[in-house]
Amino acid sequence: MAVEVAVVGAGPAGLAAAGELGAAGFRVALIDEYPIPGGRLLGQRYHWKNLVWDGKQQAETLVDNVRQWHEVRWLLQRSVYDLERAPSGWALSLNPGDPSVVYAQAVVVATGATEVPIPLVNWTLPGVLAVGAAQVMTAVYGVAPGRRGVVVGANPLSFAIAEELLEAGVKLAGIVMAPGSENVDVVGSLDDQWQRIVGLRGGGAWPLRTLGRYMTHAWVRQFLMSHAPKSGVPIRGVRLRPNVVATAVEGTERVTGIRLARIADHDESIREGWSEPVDFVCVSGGLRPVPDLFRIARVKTAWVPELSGEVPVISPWGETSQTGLFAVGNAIGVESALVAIAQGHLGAHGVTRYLRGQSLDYRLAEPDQHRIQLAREQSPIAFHPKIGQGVEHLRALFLESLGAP
Amino acid sequence: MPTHNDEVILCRCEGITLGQVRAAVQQLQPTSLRELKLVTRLGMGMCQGRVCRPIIQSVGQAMFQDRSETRLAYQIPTRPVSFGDFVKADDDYE
Repeated sequence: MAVEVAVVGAGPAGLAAAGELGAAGFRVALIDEYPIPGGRLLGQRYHWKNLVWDGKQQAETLVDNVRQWHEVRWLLQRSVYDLERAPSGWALSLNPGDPSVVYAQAVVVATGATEVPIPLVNWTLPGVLAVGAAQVMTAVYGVAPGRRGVVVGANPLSFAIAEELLEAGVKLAGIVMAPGSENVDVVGSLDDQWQRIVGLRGGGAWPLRTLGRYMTHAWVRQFLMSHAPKSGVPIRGVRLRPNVVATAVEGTERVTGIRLARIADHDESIREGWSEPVDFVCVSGGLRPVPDLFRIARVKTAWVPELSGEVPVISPWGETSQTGLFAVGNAIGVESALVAIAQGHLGAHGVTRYLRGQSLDYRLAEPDQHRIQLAREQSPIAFHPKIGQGVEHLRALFLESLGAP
Repeated sequence: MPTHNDEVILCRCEGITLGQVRAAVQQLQPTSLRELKLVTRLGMGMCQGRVCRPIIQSVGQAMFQDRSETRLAYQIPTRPVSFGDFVKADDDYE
């Protein structure tokens, strides 16, 4: 199959890009692994200001917009497992085949982010799942993952999904902290984890908001967090237990409980241990951008902690270091769906200019960049308190790459 | 922080525990994350790191003072592919 543009990923960013490209009259292939378009929007449902953010509804609007353009071909339930240069632009290998290869003059990579797992003793037992899987089960398929669960790992995703689980009538023993050791330390020290929650924004998620700004001081944060009651602090109905760490999953055939421990005041050593009955455990280490297609295509990438991981170095039009290969959405930094949609629009405008041989002068991207910034400010969730710094860093890397031979 | 028990599984596909990793490091003395992978099969199972990569990177950082989070390579195919589709793709390739 030959098209002008291949869009990889039909989440908020990919759908937004495909809609703009369809409107511009291009022949587009829109590829996604999942049978239903919408990506992670499908599971999102939470209260936002006085409204309900309904991701499914948002996805439907984006899908309807794409469907009116008949030059957009939908290739669902297919994975892209290779991406390489071809004489006409790029060749994408698809599995399952038919078509097995898509040739495109330009590519928009909108592959989103993936979840970070937290290893726990017995985490291979049935009933342990990634928090995102619990969200998909509950919000997309209407199946409760269990009767009473626990979320291990505190980050914006944990809070959003815990709220959804409660709304669906599932009971939770709260959000507890992830363990670590000198050899494996996926989400950082307890204080690293605390800092991430203190930076949480969104719908007044932090009842200690008045205390929030003092919590940027290490000693205040450490004092308050380590002295929180063992049962936790209620945050919009979800109990955050900042000084309780999960040490093991309990059960033989399947999950029957969780082993917890309380952390002593200053030194992060275990003070006491006990078990609580649960029938499912959600591990939640946060989200990381998916860099595999960038790395395969030899795109220049960088590790940017504020953007949650390894991201491509991109121009203000979203073009990577490989000409004709553009990147949008969570694949260039974990942010909310509103930002991803705005990035999808920008990427589509960049591709349009590229294919029409128009200037990709970065000053011309300013109106679209401004819309992304607005979306960032309006977003219900900020996945990292210093996202602006990450964006600046990436921009500096791009400018630096212009100077490089 | 509470120390992870030796029995905690780091690589689910290959069933590699933290204890096995610690023992391999002690006995075989790999000098890099790549060598540790080759002696233990850590991250080399069915998922090809799609689940465990962050865990394995964190082991690399802790055990080999490897500050590069992006050290491990990505290989094609980036997703599992049947041989039939592989052959078909080859036929379709221009």
